[in-house]
Amino acid sequence: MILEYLQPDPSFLDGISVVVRAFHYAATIGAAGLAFFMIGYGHWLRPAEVTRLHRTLLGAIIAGLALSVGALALRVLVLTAGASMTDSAVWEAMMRSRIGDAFWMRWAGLVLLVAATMPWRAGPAIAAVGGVLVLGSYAAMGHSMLFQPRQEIAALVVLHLGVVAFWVGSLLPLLSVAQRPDGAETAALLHDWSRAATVAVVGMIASGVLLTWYLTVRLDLIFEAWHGWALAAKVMAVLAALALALSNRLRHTPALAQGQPGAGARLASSIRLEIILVLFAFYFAAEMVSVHPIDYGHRVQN
Amino acid sequence: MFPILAAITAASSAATHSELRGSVPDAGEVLDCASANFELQFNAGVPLTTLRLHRLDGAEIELPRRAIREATIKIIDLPPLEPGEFRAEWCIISPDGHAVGGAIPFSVSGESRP
Repeated sequence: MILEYLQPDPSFLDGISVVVRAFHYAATIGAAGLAFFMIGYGHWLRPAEVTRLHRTLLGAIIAGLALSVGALALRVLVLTAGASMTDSAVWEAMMRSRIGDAFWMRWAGLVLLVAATMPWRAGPAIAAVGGVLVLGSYAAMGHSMLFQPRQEIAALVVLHLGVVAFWVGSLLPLLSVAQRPDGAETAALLHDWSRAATVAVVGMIASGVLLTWYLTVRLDLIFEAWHGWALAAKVMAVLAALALALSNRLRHTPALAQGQPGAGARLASSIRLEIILVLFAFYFAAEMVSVHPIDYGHRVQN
Repeated sequence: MFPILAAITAASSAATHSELRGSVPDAGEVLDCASANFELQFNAGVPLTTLRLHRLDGAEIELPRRAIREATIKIIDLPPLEPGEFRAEWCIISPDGHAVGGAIPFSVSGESRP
């Protein structure tokens, strides 16, 4: 939206597409992450928390499915230069393209995520496959598929988004857990989660750096295009969220373990701020993919 | 060791984004008389999803419907155009799934060919 209006002859449709894309990221990647948390840490949760997590996951899945369809309809409007949202020939051409491939992959993945809320033995495995499909759908189209080595870049996209999903999807359940009246068990869960998160963050940063290396052929010109500035804004939001996560681990979690009064409330406030920063990171990512590095510059309309 | 690392990390583009290489009439061109068709040339075979033609005063000029097929060169028949200023808006689906589009302003100073 912001970058669209910084260009000559801005299009409202392209601008609103960026906002829809940001919500789409939050719903779909968030749903995958909620399922990952359920699979890995569901046994730490109390029955009421599990019920709340199931409801949140189902809400994210429904939002992801609805936003996927809404994004397609918006794309048809863009592809017809604002003439129609129901042009059957354009819908057909779009569904035959990479857009259709990514859409069906994402839809299938979101539907499989429902298994995380079911009391089935195979539920976690089915949901894990669903999560990978949702994340893989983001490697099925977009700038990354124009570059070589294709398979390695696709794997990096899935790895990067997998870690993002794990982190983002953990925030709401952790916020819920931080508000428990007794802190010792919560601190143990946070300690356990933090160990995995530390490894995951290293993976996220490493895959992010490698993707930037692969996808920005002229790194010396990275700030010559808005793409580079949107990337910088996203990195700043992520670093700020990581700083909060570090503070949660080093300050709030030990305070919770020691039973200090108000430690849970302080942790919850910190997690809420982290959620806001993550939403900004999604928004900047949505802005970033609407433009392109200068070496392959063109104006992308979504 | 270095050649292996270099091979692993060598970034190269498999294909560039689809882009418009040229058009007839070209952007900003002033035609003595209106041509019978409009031509768009792309760097790769792409499906053209729309071409809309407007007079600058806002009125849209109806163009014949075409099947959406991949092609490098698209030629669209135009109805007879009165002298005036026009803006053609086009949009394609790039091979990576992005919608790519643009606008080509041109003007006609004389009458259409019979």
